[in-house]
Order: sequence, then C-alpha cells, then structure tokens
Amino acid sequence: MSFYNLSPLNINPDEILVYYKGPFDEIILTRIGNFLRNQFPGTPKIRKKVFSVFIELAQNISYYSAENNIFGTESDEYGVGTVIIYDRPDQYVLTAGNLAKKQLAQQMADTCEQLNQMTPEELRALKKEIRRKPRSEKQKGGNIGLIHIALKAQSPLRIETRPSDEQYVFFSITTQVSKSI
Amino acid sequence: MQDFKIEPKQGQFFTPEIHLEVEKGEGMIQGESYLEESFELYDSICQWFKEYFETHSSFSLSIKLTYFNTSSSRAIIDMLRTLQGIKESGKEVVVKWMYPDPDDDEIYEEGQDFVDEAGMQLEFVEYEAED
Repeated sequence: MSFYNLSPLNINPDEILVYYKGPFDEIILTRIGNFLRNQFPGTPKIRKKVFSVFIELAQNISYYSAENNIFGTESDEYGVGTVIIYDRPDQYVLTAGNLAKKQLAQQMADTCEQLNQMTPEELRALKKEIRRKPRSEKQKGGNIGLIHIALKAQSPLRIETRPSDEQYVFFSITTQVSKSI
Repeated sequence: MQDFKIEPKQGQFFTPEIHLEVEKGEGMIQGESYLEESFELYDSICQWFKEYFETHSSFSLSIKLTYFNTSSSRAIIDMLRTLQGIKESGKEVVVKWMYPDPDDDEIYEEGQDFVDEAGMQLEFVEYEAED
C-alpha cells in the first residue's frame, strides 16, 4: 500500500495542481516553474521551496530516466517521466516517477533511505563533501539533487518501485513541503 | 578579444544573463540558472577568463543569481576554482556574491559553502529583494 495513498484514482481532482508526463526539457521546466512561482498560493518562501524541489525532481528524471524521447539531434535528448503536485490541506505533495534500470533504482532507494536518517546539518555536510569531489567525465549534474530535495522539503523521501519487466522498474520519489513554515 | 555576452531570453529563465567586459575588467552573472547542460556554459566562461588573463591582470566579477539548481552550483564551484587558480598565479581577482534580503532561497548560505568548497574568498554583498 502506498504511504500517501495518492493514486490519481482516489485523489480529489481539485487537489491536483500539476500533472505532467513527458520529456523534461528546459522549456517545460520554465513553464511549470513559472506557474509554481507566480500562480501558486502561499508565501514566497513556500513557493520557492516547491519550485526548487520540483526542478531537482524533474532534472533527476531528465538525467536518469530509462525512457527518452528523441526528436532531432541527439543533443535534444531528455528523459521522460511524470511529475504530479498535489495541494493537500497541510502540505504540497510532489511525486516524480520514471522508468529506471533496476540497479539504478535500487541505488537511489538506498541513498534516500540514508538521507532520511540524517539531520539537516549532516545533509548539508554531505552535500558539500560530494560537491567538492572532482568532476567525472560522465557526470551530468551535481549528484546532489536528492540531498538538496531532502534539505529543501524538510521531509522524508518516499520511494516506491514497481517491476516493469526483467530489466526495468517504475520508480517514484514522493516528498512534501509543509504549508506552515 | 571580445566581451562574453549572454542576453536574457523573454520568458526563459534557465540561462542567466552574463556580461563580462574586457575594457572595464568587470562582469556580472545574474538571474536564474537551471540549465540541463550547466557544465557547458560555465566551462565556456572559464575558457574566456583563461584567455582574458593572458593579456590582463585584474577582473571584478559580481554574481547575483536569484535561483540556481544543484547542477549549476557544481559548475559554479569549478568556475570559482579556476578563478582561484588564476588569483594564486598572481592576478587580481575579486568575486562579489550578491544575496537578497529576505533570502528565501538561502543564497547567502550557499555562497558560504562555496567559499569552503572552492577554496576562494568571496565578498558578500546584500541587496534588497524585489519579490
């Protein structure tokens, strides 16, 4: 059973603020991001937190999704996934899901499990430690997106994986931003 | 040698506005930075600085980013490391880190972390947020 019990089938449609499935390129990030910042209720601080968590979740999909839409040249390759943002009475809930290789999904799940045990001070120290490392050739981002999400959301990261086939799973991350900060 | 210039595009906030001026020995990176390929952008800035310092001896850079993603933060650290290297070779390099008041995105704190991680001193300058 899902921790949040937030299947689109049993949620009040009025609570869905954003529901997007597709490639996560920068134009989409800007569109959804501007909606979150400009047409969103809540204080600037909360809006910025939601925006920041959204961007990192979306870029996580773009970098690590096993599903790609490729139009035009290869440099236009962006990962495909789904982001849903719910407006619940006490918090905004953000869920991001995508197809991932089993092993990668397991690594991410283990990472989230570790992050959930850490205090904000420990998270910040870990972020610095990882960001300080020399950049590898294959590195796409900062490798600190999940830590940043945990710091910004100030909530645990809930992972769910469902087998898709032998090699792949559908992998989702859910977190929340409280309305009373 | 030419100025390094990236103008903001209407409605697209993922690339910061950048203007590095050869004549004045001054420059500014401002706005938002959440590009997919952040390394490409900041590496090209590093390249510009390397070339600039072959014939010049000082530069003052202001960074006034209102939002940046974690990829950009990683790329910015490498840019600061490059600048620190140039500074240690005897050039005069000043980097101003502008942070807003109120600072909802903890820009100041990020800047402090950058000092540790890049090993470069930054001049912290507060400004009044428009938001």
